[in-house]
Amino acid sequence: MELTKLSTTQLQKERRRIGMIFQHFNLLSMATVRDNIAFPLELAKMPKTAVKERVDELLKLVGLEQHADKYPAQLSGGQKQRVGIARALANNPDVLLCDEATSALDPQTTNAILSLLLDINQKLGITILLITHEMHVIRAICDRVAVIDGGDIVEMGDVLDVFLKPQHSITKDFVSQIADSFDPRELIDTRSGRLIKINYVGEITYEPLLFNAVKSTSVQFTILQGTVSRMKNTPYGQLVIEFIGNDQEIDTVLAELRAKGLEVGDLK
Amino acid sequence: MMLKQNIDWSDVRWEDIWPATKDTLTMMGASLLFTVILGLLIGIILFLTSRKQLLEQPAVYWFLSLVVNILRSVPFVILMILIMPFTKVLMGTTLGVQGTIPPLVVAAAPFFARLVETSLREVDKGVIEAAQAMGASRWDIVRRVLLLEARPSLIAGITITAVTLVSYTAMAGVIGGGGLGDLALRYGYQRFQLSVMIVTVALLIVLVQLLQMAGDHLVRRFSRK
Repeated sequence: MELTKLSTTQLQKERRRIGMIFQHFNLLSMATVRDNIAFPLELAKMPKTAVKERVDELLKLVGLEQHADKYPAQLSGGQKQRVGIARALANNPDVLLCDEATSALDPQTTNAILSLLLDINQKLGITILLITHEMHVIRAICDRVAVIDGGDIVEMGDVLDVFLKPQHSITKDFVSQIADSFDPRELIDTRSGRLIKINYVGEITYEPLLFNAVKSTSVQFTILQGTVSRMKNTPYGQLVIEFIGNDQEIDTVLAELRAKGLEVGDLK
Repeated sequence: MMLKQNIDWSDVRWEDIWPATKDTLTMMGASLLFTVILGLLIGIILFLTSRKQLLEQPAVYWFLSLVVNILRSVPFVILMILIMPFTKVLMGTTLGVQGTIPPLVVAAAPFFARLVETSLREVDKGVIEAAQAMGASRWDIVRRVLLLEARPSLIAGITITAVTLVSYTAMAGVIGGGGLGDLALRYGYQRFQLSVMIVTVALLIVLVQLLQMAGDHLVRRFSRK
């Protein structure tokens, strides 16, 4: 649906199916937690008893039962954002829009809010659209990512694909926030062995593949640079390795690694 | 010592002062009520039609703003005389408590409207954005967001307006408006009864003080920050 072409009243109605949370929470400072969460329900003209029931449900979902009658000024940042999330979910939206929702929070609170969002996504089956400049947030909970530069989407795909093989320069820039920004090409001139870049994803991350591949040969290896981590629930690794030995044997080793499903490429 | 000799406290006739106090309170109370209603309305329209607001209407804003500025730039004593024909039509008289209420409202409403406009401007834009994102209509936003969020500030504005109205009622005495100002003028000034002057001024001070204290108390009660 083209939202920008709707009339005011149509848009008002359509907006109730989109929950939104904000960087600065944007709660009514003069209303209690309970009244803040009830606000969208009252706008939707829900009967009073139903409002109370729904608010209690939401308070429980975000873990704020104890704070129902407090005012926003009495809450911490994380608690305020929980109120924001409860308020956004009140009308059972199809999509939850998070506009830099964790950018004003400290790292621990960010993680708590992210796991709440992930929980909501999985339990309630609500699509979450998250706008952020924090790469670790994307890595922690997102499935797909789109990179926007100057208002245009320049790259889009599964988080794993985009993060491991960024195409656009702005994506590379962003991804280097969480990856090691060190450029392995600087090593080429100083090392005598063959420099190989290896990428892998999935359960093979935790298998002793390198050791198995070289053990029947005389090839030795050194890990020069690398990341082994997880994106959401998928383990992955990116390594730059120097192989020392004769070329033929190294080729055999590389062929074996490729056969196991690793992505292998010469750096030179 | 000189002063003491000139003051004759027997001039103070409490049977005149109490009705005058009552008149002042009536004038202030009634005009405050209408001023708040009218001022809120004008203030909200001023705010909504101003630049980058929900009902941005430069022409409407410009015109309303001009009217407000004109009314605010005319000194109260002169305004009172200027609108006498209007007062006569509306109330049937230009004298006494009744004749004073229209000029008080005409003078105070534009003043209060500006205070309302400023109060509404201070409401966090993010909250308005959030309400819009939740599908609130403009009327919802005015009623449930703006007026709620600006409440302490609006109460402070009403207090300032009430105090201003007290001093206006005293001025209304000049053209036969009645009340404490009238008393001070007729006895204190025209008959040189300093004691009457002192008593009326003291009563006005007490009145203003009580209004300010009540207003501050309410602001504190409604503040949530």
